[in-house]
Amino acid sequence: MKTFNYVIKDEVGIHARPAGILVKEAKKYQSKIVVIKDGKKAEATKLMSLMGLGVKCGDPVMIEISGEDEETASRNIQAFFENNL
Amino acid sequence: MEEKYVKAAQEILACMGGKDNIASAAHCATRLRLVLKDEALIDKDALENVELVKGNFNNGGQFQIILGTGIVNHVYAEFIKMANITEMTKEELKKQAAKKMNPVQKLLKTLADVFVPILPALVASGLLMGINNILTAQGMFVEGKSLVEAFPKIKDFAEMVNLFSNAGFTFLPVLIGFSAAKIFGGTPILGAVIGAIMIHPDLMNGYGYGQALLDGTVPYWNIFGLSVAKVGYQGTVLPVIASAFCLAFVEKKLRKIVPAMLDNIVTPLLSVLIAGAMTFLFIGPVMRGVGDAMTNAVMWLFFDLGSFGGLIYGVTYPLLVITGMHHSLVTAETQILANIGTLGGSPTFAVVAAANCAQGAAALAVMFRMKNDPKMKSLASASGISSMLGITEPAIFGVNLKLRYPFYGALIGGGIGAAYATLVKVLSVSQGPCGVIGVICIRPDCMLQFMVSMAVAIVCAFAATMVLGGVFGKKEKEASSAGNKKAESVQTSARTEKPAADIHTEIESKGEKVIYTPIQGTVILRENIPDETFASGILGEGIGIEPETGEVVAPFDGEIASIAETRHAIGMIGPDGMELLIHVGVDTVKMNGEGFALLVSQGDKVRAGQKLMTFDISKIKAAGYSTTTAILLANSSDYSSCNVVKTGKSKQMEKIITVGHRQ
Repeated sequence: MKTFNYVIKDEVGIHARPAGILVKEAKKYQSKIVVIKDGKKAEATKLMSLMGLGVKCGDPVMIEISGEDEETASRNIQAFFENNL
Repeated sequence: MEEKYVKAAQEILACMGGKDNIASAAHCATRLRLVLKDEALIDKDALENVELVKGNFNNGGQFQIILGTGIVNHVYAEFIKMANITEMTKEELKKQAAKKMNPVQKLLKTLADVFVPILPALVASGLLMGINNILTAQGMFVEGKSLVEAFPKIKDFAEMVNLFSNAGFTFLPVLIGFSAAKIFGGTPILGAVIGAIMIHPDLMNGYGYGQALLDGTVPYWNIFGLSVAKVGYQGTVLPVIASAFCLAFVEKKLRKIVPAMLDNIVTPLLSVLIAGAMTFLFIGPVMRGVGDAMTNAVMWLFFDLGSFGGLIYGVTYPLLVITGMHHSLVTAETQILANIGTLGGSPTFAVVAAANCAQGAAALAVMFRMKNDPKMKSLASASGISSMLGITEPAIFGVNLKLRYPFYGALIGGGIGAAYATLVKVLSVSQGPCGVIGVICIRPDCMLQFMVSMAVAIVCAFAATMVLGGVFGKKEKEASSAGNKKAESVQTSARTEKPAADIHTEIESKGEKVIYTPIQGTVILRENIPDETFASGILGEGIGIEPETGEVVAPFDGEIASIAETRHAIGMIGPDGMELLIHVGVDTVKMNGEGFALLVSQGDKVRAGQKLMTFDISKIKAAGYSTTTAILLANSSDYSSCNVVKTGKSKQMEKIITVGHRQ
């Protein structure tokens, strides 16, 4: 399992649009990608649970990636967060 | 048929780490919702192989297993039998009760939430004060003397106990600051700092403020030309809560605008500086007045209205317990006790104790009446005794409310006991367990009358319950077997234009699910929504609506899964795990909630047709944004089909999208 921490910079947080593109990105990988905020977990492929976390700008989140392609996935997802969120 | 459910329940229980791991269980229209003690014990892979399980996810501490309508209730019934848990836990009932709240109720709920984590400190301090009370009470054990006077050797020990018992109250603002900041979403430790600032020893002691005001000796700071009273807030409750709210508010705003690099340094600095200054300039003086008024109101109820005030309080109290708001009364009681020097003690304790004992007595009466129901009998005896010791929830929720008549009996007995206690002016000197053993928290000269009040409450409640039981006793059996239904009926009172039953039959008969129009307006295809992201289908299949009225209703029976902080978007989970996004307008996130009003909150269960939010069409247009609202099935790829039934003009609750079976 791979993990990394990230502080959200997108001004609307993980809301509809950013959440949507994250889901799309997460679905590219076989690995299970979980976003954790204050102990609450959401699978990055599930829009509702992701939005249910209520992640706002400035919130720290932890991302857990586990599965066969976790190496690539974690590298790309981290880059994705930095570029989009 | 039956066996299928038993098997599923068994397998699910095994996947959840066995019955010892289940903290509570409930179900909604489609899902089994579990709170687990240790989520690490979940075996997800095995769970997905259980025949009836359609999906699972974890949301806000609840582990939810999707089973589907018509199945979940059967599995749930088997599940709770195996897991050996009661059908309705008090937390669920409380939560359901907490959902429909007006602003006053919300305020009381907030006060309660702030005080609940502090209660252990108040109990410890209160009981220490009780010990001190016993040691120093004149003539309690030795004629004309206190224990300390009779045995001078224990004098220093008594002093030490007294110091211990005082500390919690003296520094209460620090505890409240910590707890309140946490509730309001700020950093708890900064809340504690604000609390500490407010009782700093360099400030004039708050207790002396009234006298100093008369003498004209109040010290002032000169802050840029403003003169600010340099007075502490010892023994106050509301000013601290308000300041902590201010702190959390400032802190949250700052976190948004301060660059991440500087956040750790700048945010705490400015939060404390701004909130601290606001405290002494505005919040403190205003809230000091409000707090005094609140205390005076309670005092008026007791000292001026006398036993009638006690009666009102005693009858109202159990009703507040049901909503969890009784803890907010601690606010007034704490403030009264903090000013014990002038007031002599608090009259509220005996009243609450009477109400609690009455609930216990009513439950015990049930035990005598329900000889043929061993389960209810054992529940009634255990909860009745615990109630006499001050923990009433099991008796209220488990027994008295379930059967109704014991609750009324308890209200009658509690009211009479409370009226008596107020009549003879039973005063307490500290907080503690509000039951029979609470006697140690009572002023020594009132102890005997306290016991008499409790006896009155117990006897009256017991008798009233026996009598009422004779009249309404027939309903006992139905009520105890149908206990679970009551919890569900709480949420079904919402307006529905289309009866929910129809919707379910539709699902079952055709194997397809229906999404109804949530807003009156013109329906357009998803591709034509004037926003790339929505139009592209990344967020799922669906439609756009150009709204004619600013009212959104639930498009199906389901649960509010997410709500945007800016109030312009709602996520819902519906039958068969449908995840629907309702996003009002395009780019309206930038309006920061202006013009949007939500009528539900996250976790609420709603019925199709229930009003969810309102928005101001003209405001959105004035701000320069499109009002086109996206209704998107976020997980549409999980279903065999998702068809738009019609486009063009539509009223609310017309059939607009049909969704096929889950793949």
